Amino acid sequence: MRIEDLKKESTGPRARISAKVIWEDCGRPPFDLYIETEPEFESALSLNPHAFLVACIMPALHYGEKRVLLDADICPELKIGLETAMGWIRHWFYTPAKELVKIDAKTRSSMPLPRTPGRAGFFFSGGIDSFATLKANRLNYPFKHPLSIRDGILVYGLEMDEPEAFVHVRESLSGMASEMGIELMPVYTNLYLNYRDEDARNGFNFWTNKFMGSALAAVAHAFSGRLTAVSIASSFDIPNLGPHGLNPILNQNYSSADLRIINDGLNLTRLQKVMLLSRDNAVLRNLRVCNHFKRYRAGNLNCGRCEKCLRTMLALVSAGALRHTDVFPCKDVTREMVREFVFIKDSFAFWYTELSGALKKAGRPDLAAAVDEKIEEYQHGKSIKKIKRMIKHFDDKFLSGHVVKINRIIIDRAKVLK
Amino acid sequence: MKMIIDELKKEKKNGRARISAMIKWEDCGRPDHYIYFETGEEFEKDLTLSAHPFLVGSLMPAIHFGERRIYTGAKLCPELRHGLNIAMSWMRHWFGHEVIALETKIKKSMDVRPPRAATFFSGGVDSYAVLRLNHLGFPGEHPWRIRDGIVIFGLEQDDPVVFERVRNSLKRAADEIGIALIPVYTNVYLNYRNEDKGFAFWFYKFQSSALSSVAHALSNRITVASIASDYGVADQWPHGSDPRLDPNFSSAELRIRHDGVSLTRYERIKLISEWDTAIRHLRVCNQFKKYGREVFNCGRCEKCVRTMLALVSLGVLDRTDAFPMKDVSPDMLVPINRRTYAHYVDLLAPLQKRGRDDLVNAINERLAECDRKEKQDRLKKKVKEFDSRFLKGRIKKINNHIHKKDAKSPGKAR
Repeated sequence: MRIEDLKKESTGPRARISAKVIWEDCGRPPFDLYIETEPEFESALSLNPHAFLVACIMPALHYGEKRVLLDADICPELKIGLETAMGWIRHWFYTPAKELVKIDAKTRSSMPLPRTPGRAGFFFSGGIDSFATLKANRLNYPFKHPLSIRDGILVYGLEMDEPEAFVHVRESLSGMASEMGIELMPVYTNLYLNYRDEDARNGFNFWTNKFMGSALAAVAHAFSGRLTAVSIASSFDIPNLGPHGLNPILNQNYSSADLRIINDGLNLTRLQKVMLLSRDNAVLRNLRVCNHFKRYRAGNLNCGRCEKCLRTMLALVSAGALRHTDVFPCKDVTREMVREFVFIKDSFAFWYTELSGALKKAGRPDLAAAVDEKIEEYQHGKSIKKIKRMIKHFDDKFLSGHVVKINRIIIDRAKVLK
Repeated sequence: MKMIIDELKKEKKNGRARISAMIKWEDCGRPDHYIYFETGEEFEKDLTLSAHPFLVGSLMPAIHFGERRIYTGAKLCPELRHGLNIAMSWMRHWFGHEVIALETKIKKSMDVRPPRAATFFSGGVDSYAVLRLNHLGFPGEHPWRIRDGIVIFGLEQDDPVVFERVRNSLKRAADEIGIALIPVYTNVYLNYRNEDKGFAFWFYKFQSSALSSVAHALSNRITVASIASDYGVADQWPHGSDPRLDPNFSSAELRIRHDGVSLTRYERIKLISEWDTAIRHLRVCNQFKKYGREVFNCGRCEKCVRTMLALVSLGVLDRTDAFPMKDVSPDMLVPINRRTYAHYVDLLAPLQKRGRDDLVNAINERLAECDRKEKQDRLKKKVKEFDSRFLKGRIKKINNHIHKKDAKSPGKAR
């Protein structure tokens, strides 16, 4: 892969940095990778080669490129970090024989000058995790401290690429930002859009397992002329961290000597985060947890019917706060809603175990029972899957896969009969 | 009830500069003691009197021995306080320790110092590899190029005579490499070492926070300190120097890096094998009572033999006087355990390539022994579980009874 033609320009109403990305080994077509922001933040956007390198390294590894060639000086700390990050990804998702991408670039002999004065930012989506990061930061750091968060980065082009929906989100968070003493920096990028459609067909595995952290870090590096530390909110607490793209063991490696990438919120469970936020009216007025952005309307950014909405609403019920917010279509949750909209998966099953206890404690045995039913249903499904796996293993090992073949024939015949 | 860190002071004592603080235990009944960090007078201005080194050096002992809170009247960096909470959360997750309250005031600003990087320089494979990796990656002018090596008295060794010999050897290496060698003398671990069975507390919980406490003691001079990783990415497991743990001991003024994790031990030895200075001054052995006047590797312990095997596979053992022998024979191999298993697996292919089938066979035998022992241990554990769950511990009682009888029998006693 070659990253060439780095440039900064103003395109229409936005400031933009861009580079041409040319694939060498995997046969994908070249494309222009860009990161844009609004004119008021033009001076914050720097033509930093790190942004492009960090944005391309995981796609290069994923699609089997042998090298990334970049004709620019890069920070040696970042280079070592990217090699380490690829080492983790290989360890988690590939075999030891998988070749890591060679980073073909000169290393910087000094820190960039002039040095950026200490200033912290964070990725601000308006969800539980990002609000909790901001809230915990406010509680932990005196306002004048260089790690006290001053900027919130809102990115268009990651989970969302609908301009109208983005405007709604931005409007909602803008007011909130000034209340919390931060500036909201809208950023527009195609660094993931190039892969998103094919990744969607694969359950967003590339994004979730490998790319998330480095994609966000790439955006942060584009603002290293303004920021020296950027926090990425963790979705998981320490006991529930698995190998995935937002793991702190990975994300710290996207730091350079002049910009730190911080994985935040590891020591709080999701319920503890909701509890932390549940007395904050500004948060309750602006919360956006829903990923179904096509259902967004002005002032209504949570569908109230998806699993994530329901999970958050249940947590707010247990904190006694759902009735104090208008961001969901209803002020309470019913057993029927839990039955209809909650589907528990492995990656977040523990959140429901935590919720069940909290709901009982909050005097909502009806909802606790509904959640327990869902947990039981999930565990039952898990046991069946386990038995199926064991049968398949036995079949592979001792019966040359005959059971699977017979099963397939029966299913096919049944389809024909239908 | 809480551990109190009190009486912080900086002074000169016996020709050294020293910072110290009183540690008062309140829950676990241990006697109060002073923690100190000392260095040569030439580094006096680098020694920093703040709560950071004492708090970082006391946190793991506090949770290990069951204190419920730590209090200090001195101000603490908010980033460090946050990091210590995360470090405790990892310890809770791995070993079941409680997260304890840190009762401190918060520092409202940070001190800006010129950047300067250091590493802990023991003379072992990991520390040389970190230095090499850093000097190859960071050009001469870069502020993160390592310029200081810290050597510590009071961790794995506390024999003043031996330490001075090691220090002199490392000083020669440091001069060749072009870094300053800073000796630090501390009792941050000595207070617990004698009771630390199998050094489990040190290995699983304390090592990186102890090293970080020393770095904080020097934070007037250094802004970045590298702790050499002891395992590569694929061999990481929860222990006291882990890439998930170490960076949490950073403050806004001092960044703690877990360094070198991208390389396996074999890759590290390969990296330094063509570096003459490292090969001549290598010191991997922890058996400091067996050190010779100029040779700091006994050549017989597991760590020595493992390193020598790697050097044989790279064809450089005969080029160094750092070990008492110039070759390894199969009978020198000692039993392998889970901690070192992966290191030996990495050696098989290079030794084979060098035509040392004798050593390859010997390693394979030791690996098989380790596998067998693990299988037996697993089986024993299962039997034990079954016995306590379904047989009310009867098998254990019978077993104890037989062993008691055996011990009493005159034939066995002889």
